[in-house]
Amino acid sequence: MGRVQTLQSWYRVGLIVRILRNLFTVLIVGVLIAGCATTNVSRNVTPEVKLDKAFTELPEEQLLDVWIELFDPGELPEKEKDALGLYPEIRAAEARFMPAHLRQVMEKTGYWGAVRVVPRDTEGAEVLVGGVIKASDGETLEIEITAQDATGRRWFKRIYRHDIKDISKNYNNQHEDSFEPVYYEIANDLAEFRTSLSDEDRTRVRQVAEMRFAADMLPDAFSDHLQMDDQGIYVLVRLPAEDDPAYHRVQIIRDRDFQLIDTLNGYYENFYRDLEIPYQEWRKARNIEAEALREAKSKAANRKALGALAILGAIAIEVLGSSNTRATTRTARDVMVLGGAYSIKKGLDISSESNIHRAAIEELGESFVSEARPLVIEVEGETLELKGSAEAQYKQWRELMRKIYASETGLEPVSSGTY
Amino acid sequence: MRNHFKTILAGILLACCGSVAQAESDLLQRVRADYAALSQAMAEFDRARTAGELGAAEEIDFAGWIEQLVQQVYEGCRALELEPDEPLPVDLPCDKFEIGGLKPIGIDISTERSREEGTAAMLDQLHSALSKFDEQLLKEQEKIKAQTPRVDSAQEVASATESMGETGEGETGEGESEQTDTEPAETDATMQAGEEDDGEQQEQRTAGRTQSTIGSPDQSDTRGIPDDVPDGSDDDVVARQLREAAEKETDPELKKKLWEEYKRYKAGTG
Repeated sequence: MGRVQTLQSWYRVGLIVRILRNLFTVLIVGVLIAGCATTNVSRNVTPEVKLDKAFTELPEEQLLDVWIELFDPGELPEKEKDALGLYPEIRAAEARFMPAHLRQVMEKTGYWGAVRVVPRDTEGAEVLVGGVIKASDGETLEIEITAQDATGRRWFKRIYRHDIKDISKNYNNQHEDSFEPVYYEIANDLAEFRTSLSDEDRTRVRQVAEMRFAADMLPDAFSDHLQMDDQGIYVLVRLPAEDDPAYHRVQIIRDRDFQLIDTLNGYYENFYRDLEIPYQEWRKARNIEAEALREAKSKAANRKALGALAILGAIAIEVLGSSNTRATTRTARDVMVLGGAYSIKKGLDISSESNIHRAAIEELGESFVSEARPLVIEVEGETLELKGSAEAQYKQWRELMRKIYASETGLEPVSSGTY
Repeated sequence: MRNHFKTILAGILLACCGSVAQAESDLLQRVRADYAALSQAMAEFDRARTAGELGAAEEIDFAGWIEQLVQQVYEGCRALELEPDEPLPVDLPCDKFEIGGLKPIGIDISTERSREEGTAAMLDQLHSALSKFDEQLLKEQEKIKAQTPRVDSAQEVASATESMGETGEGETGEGESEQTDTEPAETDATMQAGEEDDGEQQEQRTAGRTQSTIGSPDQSDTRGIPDDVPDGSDDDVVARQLREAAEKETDPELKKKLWEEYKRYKAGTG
């Protein structure tokens, strides 16, 4: 008897341990989900979202310049049916088109200084916005957006998704992108974060951006003006004297840097304008075909199922019915078999119609690729050449600046750190 | 009486000697003053240069002033040498100034000059590189302008208004590129002039910062806007360019046409 009680109490202890273990697992999963939610919030954007615009003209010193990097084109869907008519070349075009459109939307808000599209890994932004295309097929757009400022402070990293419900409504306005709500939502989130900063914060962002550029150009003179704290955030140690000739020269070069960015942006703008109409047309046509394909597949499946049911019904009556039933339903069974066969045939016909839509989607993709590819190659060639040439010249300027500084101060060049 | 004579004689002698001594001390004092100024200037020059307080232009000016002082001391010493029966004062290192000399012991002026020249040459080189870069950017910007994107009719209208010179403050890079067209010519001046130019560029960029707010919705009134023109709160890029062009146009007839175009465009997109 005592042994049984011992076994029972051990059993209870084991039960409690299992319950606690499960609770712990649930708790851990919950914490992980919550953690992910704060760093990588995903949201479905509704069509009703409105663009938040500044009510009054903001003072110049409160404006931050925004550089939007070319987006990461991301991966095409793994499933063949989802990747139908989508090509890497299309993604490459979208990776250049989308930041240019976001730029236009952000410029409308009045919250920002100069908003520019820049090649990836371009240094010197006050606010840098990056994006990864997670999905884009004309019906759905999903983008991951990351924003941070010159101090290294991460503003946010969020995924925006929007599904088009009504093709005719969404693709009839030639002067508005079909996924405008996504861009509005991104612009609103950026404006909201900007507004949450104090004037002092914004000034500091601009100063740090300036000093990072100065330290990159002339580390001997300016690398000690900034420090990075243990959180990876740049902290301003001091500012140079207003009449510091070395700093003045750095500013001269920074103005050239802005002009370079403007020029690169000019190429991206032309690309955007060239691609805007073909891109919109491709998305609309693909959307229509994709919907027709879905309908055809659904119809074909229904017809085949009905046909199969009719034939199975006839067989069931034949097998399970009494001789009397078989005799009275003979004609009906014949009709059921013939009708079922016809329905299956119709289903197969509709299936072949689906193939036509599938082929149309493929063809639309190929056709758009043939339009987009040369534009991508052209803009990539122009911008890479210009950026490459500029980088070579920056290198030369850095060297000259170091020598001039050494000559002026009598100090030997000591560092070559990059910010 | 004898005593009185002696007193007068002593006075005359003293007066004569005093006037001679006074004449010598004028020259000596001037040389001494020049030498003191030279020593002080050289010390200050060394200190300021070491502390990095001198800009290139200031350094050149400073060195020029030191040269001038050296020349004055040298000439003063030579004048003292020409004085008959007058030994060179021991407290002035006149013998250490070379004949024809701009080279006092302790200062290697030629080294200083070569360094200044070297700095100036590097500044010229930097400036020249920047000018070339400006020219390159200008060419690129002209190339961008020359590209004719496929645009719809509304955008063509907007482009037409841009070409009228009314949208130089546009929000695109092209608008800004127009503002920088004059850069290369301006940057061919001296570095200092170049730096002044860049002050202007800073202004342009600052203007560029505020340009994006020009199109913000709540500032379009009192600019001759007809009553039947809708407010621009939902203007897209093309509409905003048309609106800006209309607002800024001074020719009444052209202004009217631009407003009509704006209304037509808005009606088409509304």
